[in-house]
Amino acid sequence: MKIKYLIRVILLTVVIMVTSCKKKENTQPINSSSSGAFTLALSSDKTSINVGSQAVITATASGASGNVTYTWSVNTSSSITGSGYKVNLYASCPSCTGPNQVTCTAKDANNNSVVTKITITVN
Amino acid sequence: MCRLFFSCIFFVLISLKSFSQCCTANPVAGSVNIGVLTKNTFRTISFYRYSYSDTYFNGSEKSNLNFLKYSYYNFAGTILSYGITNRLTAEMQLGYYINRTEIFNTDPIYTQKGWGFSNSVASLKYAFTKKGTFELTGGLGFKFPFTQKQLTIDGVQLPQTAQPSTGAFGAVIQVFMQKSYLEKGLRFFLIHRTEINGTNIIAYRTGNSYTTTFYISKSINYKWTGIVQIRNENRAKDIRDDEKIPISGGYEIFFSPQINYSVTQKFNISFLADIPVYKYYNGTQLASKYAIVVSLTKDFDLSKSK
Repeated sequence: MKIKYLIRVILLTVVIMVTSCKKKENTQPINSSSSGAFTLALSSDKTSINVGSQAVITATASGASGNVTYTWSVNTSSSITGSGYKVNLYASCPSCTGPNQVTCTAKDANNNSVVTKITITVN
Repeated sequence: MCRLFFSCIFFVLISLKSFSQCCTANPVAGSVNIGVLTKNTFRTISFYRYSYSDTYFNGSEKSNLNFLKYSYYNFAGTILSYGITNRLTAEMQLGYYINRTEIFNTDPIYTQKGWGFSNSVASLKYAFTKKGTFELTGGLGFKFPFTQKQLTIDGVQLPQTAQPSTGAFGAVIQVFMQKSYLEKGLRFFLIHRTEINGTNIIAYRTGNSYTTTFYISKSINYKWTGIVQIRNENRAKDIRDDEKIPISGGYEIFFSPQINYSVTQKFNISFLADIPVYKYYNGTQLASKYAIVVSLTKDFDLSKSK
């Protein structure tokens, strides 16, 4: 009797865990190719810069519903200055050299997300 | 009592986890760690630290780089300790960056500012030897962030230099040795602290740090005590995506004069200046210039309240 009860509890726990995992997957940002009409393009005024200088990066979103918010990050110790659809990549440290991959996530009013990356080389 | 302590730690950890759902967080400042407390003594150390940097160093030489005009931070922390037995002390370190600011040398000048909770450390310290005027204590701690999320301001994720915490779990190992000469009012301390950092969610691992400090403390009169501290801080290279960052890590030697005023026998105020006297960095990095610290220490004898 106790073993049956235990098996039921374990099964229920597994079902809850699996369904909650599925929900999380649905909230992950999706990339531009699978977001329907919502697309995001990144452009930069320079493809390479020297340490201590800046590049201007512009995000262009189309097919979005309502206002678009932008989130930026870079995979080095460089800094991103500014906010919104246009920011600067500032190679603010000697350790910033090499490919700097800037990631932009755009989210519209319906919580649709698009992620796009651009690489700028810091010499 | 042990059960109560671990229950409290567990409760705090659970609370921190729920805090992390709504709040930002970040790094732990090195704290002055002392030996074990007597049984049922509860000690609170509250401190404020201001640190300023404006010069780059390449190796041990001054560099002309000026990517940042200057950077500074204001940090407030507290250390809560409780003497479980005369040999075993539990300790919790908490800290908060009021700001961690970098002023970029751009046109126009740009200010980048992070803030939030630093890593915290829950630790246990055990006195292996505590005979008269000599004490040898070892400690082991669990370092944890308030949140693993990276601090993002106005839609921009801040670099690690402006994040308030490492965003990763870690461990702290401490060894403390003290010898007192009561008749001369002299005390000597030797403290070593190793901080092992884990990797955070963006695959960044802050380099481990190894800090060794030698203190000489001399009573000037029954109210004032002068303390001189020589500290060596050695930091390993940071790691990003499993690759060491060549321009990171290094070591610094600090000279830190300190003055302590005893308001009462169990309430002290300390003022400390942190002056780097030698520094060596891997590559060119922004160097520490100075820091000032004010701390308040208060002891409570909980055995009396029973």
